[in-house]
Amino acid sequence: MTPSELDELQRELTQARARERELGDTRRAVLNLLEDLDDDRQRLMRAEHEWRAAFDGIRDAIFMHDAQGRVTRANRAYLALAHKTEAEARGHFYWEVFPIRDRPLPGCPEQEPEDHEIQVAGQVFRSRAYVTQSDGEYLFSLHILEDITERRRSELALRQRSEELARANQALTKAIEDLTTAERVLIQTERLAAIGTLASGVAHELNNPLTGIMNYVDYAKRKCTTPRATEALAKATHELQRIEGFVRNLLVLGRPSGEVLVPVSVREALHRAIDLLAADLRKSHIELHDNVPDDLPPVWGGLAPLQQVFLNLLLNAADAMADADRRQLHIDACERDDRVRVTVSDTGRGVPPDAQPHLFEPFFSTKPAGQGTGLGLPTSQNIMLSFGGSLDFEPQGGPGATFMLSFRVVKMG
Amino acid sequence: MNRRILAIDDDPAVRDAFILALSEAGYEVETASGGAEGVEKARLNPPALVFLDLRMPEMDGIATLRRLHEVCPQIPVYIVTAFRPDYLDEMAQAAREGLRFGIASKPLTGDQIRAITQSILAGPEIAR
Repeated sequence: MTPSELDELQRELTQARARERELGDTRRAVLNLLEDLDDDRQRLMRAEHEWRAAFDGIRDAIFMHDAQGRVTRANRAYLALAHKTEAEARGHFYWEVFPIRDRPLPGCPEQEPEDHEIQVAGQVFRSRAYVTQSDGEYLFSLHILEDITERRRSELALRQRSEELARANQALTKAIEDLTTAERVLIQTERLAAIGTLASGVAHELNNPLTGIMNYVDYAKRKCTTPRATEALAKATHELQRIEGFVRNLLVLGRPSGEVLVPVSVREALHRAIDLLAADLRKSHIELHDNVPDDLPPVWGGLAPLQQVFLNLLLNAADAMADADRRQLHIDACERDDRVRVTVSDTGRGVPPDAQPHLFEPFFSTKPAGQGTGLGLPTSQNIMLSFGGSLDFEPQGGPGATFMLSFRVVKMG
Repeated sequence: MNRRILAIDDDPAVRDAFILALSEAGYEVETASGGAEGVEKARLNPPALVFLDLRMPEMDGIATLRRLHEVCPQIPVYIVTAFRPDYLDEMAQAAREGLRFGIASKPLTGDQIRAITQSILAGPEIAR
C-alpha cells in the first residue's frame, strides 16, 4: 500500500466514523420524535375521551351536521331521542327525525342562535342552531335541543293556577261587595224598623192629645166672637193639621214590612202621583218628561205605598227646583236582569256631598225649617225595602238630584 | 129617636172631644173611661152608637167589643184607632166571628165625628 493509498484509506475511515456519528444522532432524534408522537397521540386520545364523555354527559340532545344536513356527530341524548345507534346516526338527514324548520343554510354568514320550539313524540324542545365557519368557509352546523317539556308543563299549570286564583279572587271580591251591600241594607232595614217602632209609638201617643186639641180648638172657634181670636184659632187649626200630617208620616215610617205584596204597575202608581201634583207642577213651571214605557212588566209592591214613594220624590224635586232657572223633571224606566229600574232626576240645586250620606236618615232635611219633615225619603226607602226593592241616591246623576228605584219583576207562569 | 152616643176611651182629652163635637149638635153624649164601665152603661141605657178606643188598660177594645156584642148585639160600634198593627189580627178575627164594626182613625176632628155620627143615625144602621 502506497503512502497515498494509506492516506486515502485513513480519510475514508474518518469520514465513515463521522457519518456513523451523524447516523447515531439522527436515530436518536427519530427515536425522540417517535416518543413525543406517542405522547401526543396518548394526550389526543385522552382529550377525545374527555370530550366524548362531556358531550355524552350533557342532557340536551346535541348534533352536528354538514351542509347537506347529514349528521356527522351526535351525543348520547340525541341518539336516545332518535332511537339510533351511533353508526346508524352517522350520515342520516336530521330532519328525517326532527321537524326543525330553521335549517341553517350553508355559506350564509354565522347565524344568531334563534330559539324556537318543536314537538317530538309528545315532548317539547327548544331548538337552537349555530353555524360554524372558518375564514368565511362553512364548516358545520351545531344543533342543541333542550327538553323543556316539564318547564312548559309547570308553566301551564302555574298559569292555570294563577287564572284560577284570579277567578277565585274576583268571586271573593264580589262576595265581599255583596256582603257589604247586604249588610248595609240590613243595617238600614234594622235601623228603620227600630225607628219605625219608636215613630209609631210616638204617633199613637200624639193622636189622642191631638184629637183632644183639635176639638177644643174647634169648640173655641164656634164660641169665639172676636175676629182676631177667630183668626188665631184658624191658625191654630192650620198648625194642628201640620202636626197631623207629620204624625201620619210617622205612622207610615212605622209600617211593618210584612205586608202582602201584589203585582203593581209602576206606570199606574207614577201617573196617580203625577195626577195629584199636575196642577202644582204647572203652577211652578216645571216641565215633566215622563219616559216610562207602557210595556214595563208588573213589579212586586203595593199601589198606594208606591204612589206615596213617587209623591215624595216628585215633591222633593219640585221643592229643589223652586229657585232654578231650568225646571225639568225626568222620569225614565227600563227592565234589566229581572229588575225594573226607575230614575227620577231634577234640574234643581242637587244634594251637597256632605248631606248625601244622611239623605235617608229620619228627621234629616235640607229644606228650610218648617218645610221638610225629614221623613219623606226614609219612609220611601222603607217602603221600597218592604217591596224587596231599593231606593238610592245617584251621586253621579247631576247636575240636580237623581234617585234610582229598583223593583223585583213579577215573573209570569 | 135615640140620639145617645157612648164614647169609651181611657183618655179624658178624647172623651172631651166627643162631648164638644156632639153635645151642641143635638146628641146626648155619655162617656166611659174603660171597657167594663162602657159595657155596663150600654147595658143599662143602650146608645144609638158606640165610639170605642182600642188600646185601653184593664179591658182592651176588642174584648170590650165582644162584651158589647153579648150585651146588646144591635148597637153599631165604631172603633176609633190609629191602626196599631198589633190589633189588626184581632180585628180581623173579630170580624170573622161575625162582630160588625166600623173603623175611624185618630186624630178625629169635630167635623169627622159629626159626619160619622150623622151617617150612622140617619142612614141604615151599619151592617151587622
